[in-house]
Order: sequence, then structure tokens, then C-alpha cells
Amino acid sequence: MMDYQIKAESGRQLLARLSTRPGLGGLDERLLGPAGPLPHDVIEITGEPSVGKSVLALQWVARAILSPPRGGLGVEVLLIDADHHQPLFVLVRLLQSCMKAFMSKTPGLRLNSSLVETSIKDALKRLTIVSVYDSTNLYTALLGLDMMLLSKPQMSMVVIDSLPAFYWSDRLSGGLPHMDSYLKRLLTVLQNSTKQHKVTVVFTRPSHFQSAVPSRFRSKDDTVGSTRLITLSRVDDANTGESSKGSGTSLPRQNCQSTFCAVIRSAYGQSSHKYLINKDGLTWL
Amino acid sequence: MFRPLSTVSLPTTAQVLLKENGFLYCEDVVSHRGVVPEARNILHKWDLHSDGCWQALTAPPLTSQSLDLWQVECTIPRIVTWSKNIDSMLGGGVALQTITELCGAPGSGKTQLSLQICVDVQIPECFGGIGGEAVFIDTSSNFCPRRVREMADSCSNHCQILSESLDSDQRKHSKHFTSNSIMNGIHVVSIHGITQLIAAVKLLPQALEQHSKIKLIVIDSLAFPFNCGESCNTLNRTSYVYRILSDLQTLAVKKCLAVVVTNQLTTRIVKSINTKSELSPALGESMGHRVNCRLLLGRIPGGDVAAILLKGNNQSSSSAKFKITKAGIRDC
Amino acid sequence: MAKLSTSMCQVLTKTAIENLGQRKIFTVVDVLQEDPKKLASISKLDFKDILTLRQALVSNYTPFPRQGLDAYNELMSNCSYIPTGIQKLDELLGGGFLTGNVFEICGLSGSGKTQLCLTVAANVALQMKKVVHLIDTKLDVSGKRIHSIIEGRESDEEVIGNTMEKILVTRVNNFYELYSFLYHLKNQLVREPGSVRLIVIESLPAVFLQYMGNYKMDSLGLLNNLASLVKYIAHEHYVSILIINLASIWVEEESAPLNDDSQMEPPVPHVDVKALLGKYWAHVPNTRLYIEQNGVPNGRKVTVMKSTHLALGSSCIVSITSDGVR
Repeated sequence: MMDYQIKAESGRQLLARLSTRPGLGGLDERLLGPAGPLPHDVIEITGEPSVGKSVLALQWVARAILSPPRGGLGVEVLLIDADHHQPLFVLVRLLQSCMKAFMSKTPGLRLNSSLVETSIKDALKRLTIVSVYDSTNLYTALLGLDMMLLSKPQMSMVVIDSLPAFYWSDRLSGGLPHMDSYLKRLLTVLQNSTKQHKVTVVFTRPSHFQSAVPSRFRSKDDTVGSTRLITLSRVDDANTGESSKGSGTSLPRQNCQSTFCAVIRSAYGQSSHKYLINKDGLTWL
Repeated sequence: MFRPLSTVSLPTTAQVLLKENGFLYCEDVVSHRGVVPEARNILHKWDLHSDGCWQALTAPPLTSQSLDLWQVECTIPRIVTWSKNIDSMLGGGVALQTITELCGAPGSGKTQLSLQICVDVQIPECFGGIGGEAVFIDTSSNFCPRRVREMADSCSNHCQILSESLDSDQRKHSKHFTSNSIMNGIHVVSIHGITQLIAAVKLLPQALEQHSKIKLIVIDSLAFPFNCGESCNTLNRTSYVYRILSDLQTLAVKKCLAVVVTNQLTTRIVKSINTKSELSPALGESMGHRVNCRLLLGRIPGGDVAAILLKGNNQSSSSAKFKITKAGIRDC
Repeated sequence: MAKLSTSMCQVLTKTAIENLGQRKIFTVVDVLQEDPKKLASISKLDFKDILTLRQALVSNYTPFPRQGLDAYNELMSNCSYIPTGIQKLDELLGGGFLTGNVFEICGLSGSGKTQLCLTVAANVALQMKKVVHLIDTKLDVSGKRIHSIIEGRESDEEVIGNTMEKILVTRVNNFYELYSFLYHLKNQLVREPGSVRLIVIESLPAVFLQYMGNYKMDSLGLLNNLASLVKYIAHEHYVSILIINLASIWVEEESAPLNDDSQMEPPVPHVDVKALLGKYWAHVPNTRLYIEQNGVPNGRKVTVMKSTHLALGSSCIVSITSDGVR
């Protein structure tokens, strides 16, 4: 009886291993290449507040869940929301601009507002949201990921915004004191539950969640840790030269017209891209 | 969503022991049947194991309607100074239950005004005062008994003249209000350094138990211990100042008394178009946030003193002029 | 509840919990993280029971996943704007404070933060006839001031009285009381959904600044816990939360750049206006508004500094009078 149970379980696991989830090719050609992120890729997005970490992640979500005739990939996505910055509002806006961009590229495609609305609703059906409010929530969500992915064979991407959201609270209740080891532990938990499944994991991390001495980056055989690191930053204004300094909390200097820069590092090399943030998301220069 | 144990005001050692035994949330410690036996054993050491104790630790503070608040406020008396100008600027005098900060350059009359308030708080009810006593925490050896005696003499003389118009019963009562009684009603605490200042503030509740008539606490000056002697970085300083002020505020509301602190001015460099310096109250911007009322005092040509209300609860900014005479603070 | 108890799952016996406890496995997370085979040998439970237990814990303790469309529809039907009653500010905010959001108002001391939030509280209570919770950390919210603001808008004493009954003031002395109260409100909202739409925390730094310096680590942990609770209330119960923060002027000595230039300027201190509570907190609010004097007497400029749904950098001018902000 007991043996049977084990076999049944591993049989499902085998199925998960053999089955192919839809690919993410063309998700973001500029940053991730034409092939898109590979299964088992872990992509980390980091940067100061208000440089568009969440927006970039949600931009990918929008592209992924939109159906192919509307310019998307039509895959399912799980969003673990720990920051609660109204991701749905942003997402809907990004879905709209994604479709708009697709329309301008595709001659003959006309979408009226009701069609746009149905497409958005259709896209949102491919999204699953989990809201987490404390560290137990987050851990159980990560540990339960395995079972969720088993039941959703079309799910190809898991997005976590932001992973170390409960670091300080955990630290107060006797967690790991070093930010790096704390993150590593979370990533281990995450990868243990996703390793059976061919999914891509994307997570954001505010840049102050890092130990003063970065110890983690980045040997190639390092199995724990992200495979691609995207660092977003504000490009210094030539006039002041001060905007990068303490930009987190300093007030009157914040300027919405700034340009930003994304640096992506991975095993394939390093590249950097400049961009602007507007209501359509990140616009590459 | 559960309540983490770290959000309950428990001794650190108790927190640690509970965590080591796997308790993370309040809901782990208290079930619907009260404190669970295992937690009870742990908490016994700190005498926190009873159900009632936990209830008190996690109970929400009292909520009141602003209507009630307003009605209570309207009945709270104020300490009148001898200057009508200042009184009207402050909305009728120094308010009880609030912290008033007096700041100004050396010699601008901060200490004079605070001594005057120490005398005024003692004016008996039959003369429209509140008949209290005062604690004067002296951090910079500024307290000058002879000066207080002058103010007390003038105040008690004035009240004796007023007492002619009272009926005999009240007059008998007012007999006790003399220059000596005023001197007796000011409790001076001399302290040196930050540690003694914090200790003095911590001991105030006890002192208030013994002397229930105390209606005024003066710290002259709050900035002095932080500016001299002991080294203290800005962040720690802010932390200490906030601890002191929040203790005082709690006391002020609970015992319905007034708190007056004096502060110095420091120079601050401000970079705008060209670099310039300006004078601003010491102890940082955050200090101004914490006090309820802030008065800036300064000498003006002619020897009088001007007071400007930098921050006040009920009024928009206004100013007052007064002079310092032998008898104390008077209108000019 | 995160600690294992017999009520969680039928297979979990008292002895099993004790056995696990001896190996420092106390909580749901501890169990889920451990290898099932190892758990079976420690707890002396059947392997099959362990799998049942895991399954039960996962289904009971993982947060409930929602389909995007359902979540969106729910959001759309519950989301609304709470008008502030200050016309210019409403225009800036696109209609008022959006429910489900955490707003921060920061400014230097004396810039009118308190006056602004008292006005909003008075307007909401007066015009929408809704209960407003005002959490007072400095113990100085003045009934007289609220009265005079309402008096400037309404002359009927009875209406003024009714309005003031709707503005509920809670005085908190420290962080723990603040958390207790918000937690109590959360429970109240679970029992009576929709009973609270606007919560104003009049000055968060007042309970946190005493933890600066040597106690910084503690304060971040407490702030983290508070942020979680505040977001939970806002997000799950569609409440707008307005938090007052203080801005402060920081003077930093900038190290002079060592170039070969012979004309070396003396180091100029770098002056910066920063919001208090640090970088971690800067990440928490959905929208941050900065209020400052704009040179005109009683004039104040309100600027959007950070927002998930408003244009950054847009601003409006309001004026502060003795009967509130207009």
C-alpha cells in the first residue's frame, strides 16, 4: 500500500519531468535574447526604488499571458505578490500598451475597445496571483509551489515581487542575519520546489537588500543563485551629478524625466541598455 | 494573518525563549482556551503567564470620538503668564497636556520665561490660576533662586492686593500664597549629562506620586547635555531626545500637566544659490516635529523681547512682544 | 498559527509533535522544508501519514491562489476613490485617495501635514458620513482644531457634533500600542467588512525615531511587521491608509574631488531633504506626496514623489487657513 503511494507520487513527478511546458521564446528579445529565458533560468531584477523593477517584471508577465494573436505568448504565469503595489492596475495598463504596440507593427489588425477588453480578460485568465503578507505565508507559498505546478501544466513562469520583502521581520524573529545567506536560503527553497518543473523564475530585489560585501556573484557551477542578473539604475544627470546619491529617500530631486540603464549579466556575457519609464512601461532607447 | 510575537512588548529574554521553542505568533501562545500550557511554563519566569496578562499586553488602546476630545479640551485650564501678548498668542496661556519648546539665542529670555511660568503655575484657583507646583530640571546650572524670589515677591504682592476684593473665606485661603510658598513649590533637580537627564525623566512618575500638585515640568535646557561633554552621534541623539519627549508627553497627558523645554539655536549651512548659513533650533528637524508648540525668542532693539510662534496647535503663526523687568515677564 | 498542534491534521498526534519538537521542528514551515522520509523517522509516523500531513498543511497554509481575472473583477467592483474634499488635491490624485492603497504625506516640520490630514478627515466625515480613524502618536491631535475646521464648512451645531462623532481618535504611546490597535481594526474588518474606509496615522516617525542609532535593526524589523499589517488591511479590505512622515534636512560634508585642477573649491556641504524612516520604508507606500511651502503666505505645494498609479512630479497648490486646507 505504502509502496504504491510512493510510486504514484513519483509517477506524477515523472510526468511533470517529461511533459513540456510552453516556451518563453521572444519574451524580451533585447534583454533575454531571441530564445527567451530557458526553463530553470532564475532571473533576478535589482535596483533602487522607482527604477522600474516591478514594471519590468510585469511587462514580461503581460507579454507572456497575452494570447498569440494579440502579440503575446499565451502561457500561464504565477505571480507571488509580497509588495502589494497594485500589480493588477499596472498589468492591465501594460497589457493595453502591449497590444497597441503589436497593432502598430501588424498592418490590418484593428482592435476596438471592446475587443481590447475581452483580450485583457482572456489574458488575465492565464494569470494566478498569490498575495503573501508575512514570512510564513511566503515560505508556505514557495514550498507549495511544487503541487501547484503539478496541477498547471501550462504554467511556464513564476514571478516573485519582491523576494526579500520580509527580511527585517525575519531577522527580528531570529532569522539569518546576512542578507546574502537569507536570500540564498529562500532561493534554495524556491528551486527545490521548482526543480522538477521546467519553469522560469523571475524575482525582484530592492538593491539595499544585499550585504555590504557581495559574496554571491558568481561562479558558474553555483547551482544556487540566479542565472541572470539585471541591475536597473538611474543614469546620472549631467547637470547635477548627484542624483544617484541617496536617491532612495531624498525628495525634491526626484525627476520623472530621468533616463535609466539596465545592465544584464549572465553566463552568456554582459550588456547594457538605456530606457525611459512612462505609462507604457519601459521604453528602450 | 497572525500577529508576530515581536510586536508584543515582551522582555527580550522571553522573546528569545519563546522563539527557541517554536512560538512565532500570538496565536501560537494563546488559543481560544487561553494561554497554552507549554507557553505558560515558559512565561512563568517573567510572571506573564496569566490570561489577563496577555490580554493586557495585546489589548488595543482606547478610542475616543473627537467630539469627546474637544469637550475635554475646552475644560482644560491653562497657565497664564504675566504677559497678555504671550497668552493670546498661545491661545490663553501655556497649555496643559502639551510640550512647549522655547528656543532662542543666549540671553533671549528663555530661562526667565520658564522661571516665570514656574511661579505662575502656583497662582491659586481663587485668582484664576491652577494652584499647582513645578519641577525644574536644571541641566546647565542656570537656576537662580534670587531671581525667582524677585518674581515670587512681585507675584504674591500682586495677589495680596487682589485679595482685598475677595470674600473673607477666599481671602483666608489666599493667605497661604506667599513668596515663601512659591519658593517651596518649585522642585529643582540639578543634573549633569545625558545619563542623569534620562534617569531624572524616568524617575518623574515617582516624584509625581509624592507631590500630586505638580502641574509643570521644565527642562532648562534640553539641548545642553547633548552639546557638551559626552560625545553622542546624531542618530543616537535623536533617539534619546525622542525617548525623553515621548515619556514626558505620556506623563503630560496622563497627569494633565504642562511641559516646557528650552532649546538653543545652532548654525546650519544651507546651500541654495550661494552658500549661506542660517540659525535654527538645535537637536535637529525631528525635534520640531515632536513638540506641540514652538516659540522662538529674540532680543529686539530697545531691549524688549519678541516671541514668534513657529509651530502651534490652534493658531496660525503670530508674534508677541514682552519685556523682562525686575518683577518678571511683563507686557511692554 | 504556525506552531504545530493536534488540531491541524488528524494524523498529527501529541507524541509526534513532541518527537518533532526534540529535533527543533516546531512550525508548519519547518515540516514542509524537511525531507518526508526524515520526518517519518523522527516523528515515528507512517510515511503515508507524513504525506497526508504535508498535503493538509500545504492546502491549509499556503495562501489562497486567485485567478487573475477573478482578482481583477473583485478589485474593480470594490475599488473606489475617497474624495479629499480639497478640489485641487482631488484633481491631482485622480479623484481622491484610492482604496486599497497606502499613501504617505511627508514634509518638513511646520509644512502643514497635520492640517492637511485633519482637513481630509473632517471632509470625509462631513461629506461622506463615513467613520475615519485617526491614530495619534504624538498625543496632540486637538479636538478644537478639528472643530474649527468643520465649523468653517458647516454652521449647524448638530451636524458638527455628528461629524465629530465619526472622527475617532486613538492615542498610542508606542509602537506596540500602534500595532495592537491596527491588529484590532483588522479583526474588526474581518467581522464587519467595509466598516472602515480611511485610516490616518498621524506621524509614524514619532513612534520610530526613538529606535534610531543603536536600535536601528530592531526598528526595521518592527517597521517590516507594521508594513505587512498596513498592506494587509489596505489591500484585503479596500481601506485607504494615510501615513504622515517627516522630512528632514540632511547636511553631508561632501568630500572634495581631488583633481589636478589648481582651483580647488572648498568642500560645500551637500544639503538634501530626505524622508525619514529610511530606504526600506521608502519602498512601502504606494504613493508618496511631498508638501512644502511655495513662497506665498499660507500657500503649499503638494507634489507626487512616487506612485504606482499617478504621474510622478505632478503637483498642485493648496492654501492653509485656520479652518483647514482649501
